[in-house]
Amino acid sequence: MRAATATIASRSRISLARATAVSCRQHHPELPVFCLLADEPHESIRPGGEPFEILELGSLRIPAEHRLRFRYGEMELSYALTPFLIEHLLRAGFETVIFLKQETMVLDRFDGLLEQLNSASILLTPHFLEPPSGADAFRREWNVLRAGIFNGGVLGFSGCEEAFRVLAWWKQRTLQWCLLDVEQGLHYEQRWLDFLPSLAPGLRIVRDPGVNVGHWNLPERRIRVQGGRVTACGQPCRIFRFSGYDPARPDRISRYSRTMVAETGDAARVFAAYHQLLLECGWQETHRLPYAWDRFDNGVPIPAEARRLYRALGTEAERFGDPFQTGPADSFFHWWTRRRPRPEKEAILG
Amino acid sequence: MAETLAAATIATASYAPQAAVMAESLQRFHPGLPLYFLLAGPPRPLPHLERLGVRIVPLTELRLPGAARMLLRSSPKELCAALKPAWLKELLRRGHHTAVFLDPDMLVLASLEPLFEAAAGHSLTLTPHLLPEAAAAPDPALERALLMAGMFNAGVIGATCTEETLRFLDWWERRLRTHCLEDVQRAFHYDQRWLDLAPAFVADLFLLRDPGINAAYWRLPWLGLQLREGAFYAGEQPLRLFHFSGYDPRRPEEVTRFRPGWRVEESGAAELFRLYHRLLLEAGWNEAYPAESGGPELWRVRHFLRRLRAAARLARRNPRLFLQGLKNAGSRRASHPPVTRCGNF
Repeated sequence: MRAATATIASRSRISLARATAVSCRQHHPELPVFCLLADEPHESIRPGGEPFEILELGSLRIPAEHRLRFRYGEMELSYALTPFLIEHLLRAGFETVIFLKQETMVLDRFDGLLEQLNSASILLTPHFLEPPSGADAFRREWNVLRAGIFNGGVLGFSGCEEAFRVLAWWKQRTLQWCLLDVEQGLHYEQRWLDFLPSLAPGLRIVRDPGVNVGHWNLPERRIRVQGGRVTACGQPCRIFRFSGYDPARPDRISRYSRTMVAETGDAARVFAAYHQLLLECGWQETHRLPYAWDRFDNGVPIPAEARRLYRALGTEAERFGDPFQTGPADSFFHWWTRRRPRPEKEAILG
Repeated sequence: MAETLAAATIATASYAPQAAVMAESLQRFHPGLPLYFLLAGPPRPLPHLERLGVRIVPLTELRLPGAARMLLRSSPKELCAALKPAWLKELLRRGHHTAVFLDPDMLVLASLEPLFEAAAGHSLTLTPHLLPEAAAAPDPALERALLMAGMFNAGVIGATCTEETLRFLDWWERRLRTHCLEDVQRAFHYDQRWLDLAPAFVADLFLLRDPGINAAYWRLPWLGLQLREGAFYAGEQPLRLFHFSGYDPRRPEEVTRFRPGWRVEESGAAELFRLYHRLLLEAGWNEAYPAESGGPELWRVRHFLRRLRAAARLARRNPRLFLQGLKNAGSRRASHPPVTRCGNF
């Protein structure tokens, strides 16, 4: 069976993709790892010298790709590309694709996931496998209700008709609504996954406590480290996610949690190992690389407001052609600069 | 020995005609199946339901701690929704191996055997709003609404007496005790949004994807509803259970209050809605039927305070939005919601 693993990163997050790839190849040397670069190439990212095979955005041949790059900022674009990348690899001939979102470290083999994809169309991992416990249980559950029941960090797709149908649908949704607006039910690409069990009868929910361990379920997973082997609930801990982990603040487990690394018991050693791996993967040298698509072609930064306005135009925006271009008199840039005197009103109504 | 299977519903006394219509249609296809009716409110004679042999259970029999307080602080709709898990547990405790909850605003149009069979074979059985068929005719506006309202419809719930089910019902009951309310911007939609967590918490969850079971306005655009020789069909399949979600008999020309302006005549289901309206009238529903239970309705104070708080949240960002916030709070169409942060996963 031909399987592939894949991840997505912009230049400033390339060390995260490297960490995912290095750790994945350590346990699954037989699996190719692809990294979709959601950014322009850069001299510090050398094809051939990386632990993954680089895919440039252009190779996915997304129709009117510039619109997607303009609609979204750096993080949103990386997330929105998930279904596009998975579909691309399945169409390229891989029978199954395991997607590992940035901020992931592979700690053990995940053969079980690959085997399940022989019979399942899609694999999803829920944030919880049981109601969470402890004083912050309600808060963690509530966050999951708003962010999505399933974690977008570990996904499995097999190249069957049902999976392609779901990917086509998911692509449409992330094209339009890969945004963080929890009061309107949106949480990037992830909230849309809640629909997948309804849409795909062949989908299977992964109930292995060693897959997709993260700050949201850390107390329930009872992480132990013995002789270099990490376990979760007594099972091998296979895939650990470090969502919101900031190497500049290594004492905290995540931007999105108040828990300190020191309070997590044996898991603290996993965080330390990840920290070390990120540094080895060049976090220090790359995390300030500029994002290529946050400026018009004349160098003017694109504010979030301009992106919002562009999104609000919907299909009407097509008349501008490439929105990054500032040369033509009928460009988005010129239209937008003429509108700018009324920015406050737009901020409310846009 | 108790019957293996039981059906159950919950309603206030003001909803008795709807419950009677559902009960009578269920009995037509499943004579002898026990149907329990939990009266969410003060005890009251319900002669029509009694004549049908429906087993009416007063709220006090649930022996819920804090039931009086719940009764005082909840709107009728909140109360009916919040009682669901405790009600299902009570039926399992009475010795039924399988309990199937059905909303009262439903009509059984053919045998529900596929539903009962699925329910008996799994810890928990739910019906998704969206089905694979919907992906072929995607409706982004409906999907956006479902992100706020929940993936699974809480109008049909099958539960069996397993440890996993009881654990889930305990958790659900705990959550509904404090958070069974309508505030979709904060991810609360009565009992239903919480059900989104069922695929995570219940390993033996079954999603019943029969287009003709728990069909409702959200499936009408692609359902292919037809009336042939006196029977309703969803495409080639029999239409078994229709859910008149949001239907208001005072405005029989409208499909649902969730989509104002959608006329029954243009829905492709006009015969079905006319039939339901006629059955409701025959069951004693009329314009003068009391809409509320007649209690002190302290919940209205709570609802007003919630709106005030929501408006204040908006006003912190822009004072001009205060009045609008007051009008929109709790509504699924609030027009200018601020983007709030929530843990990134």
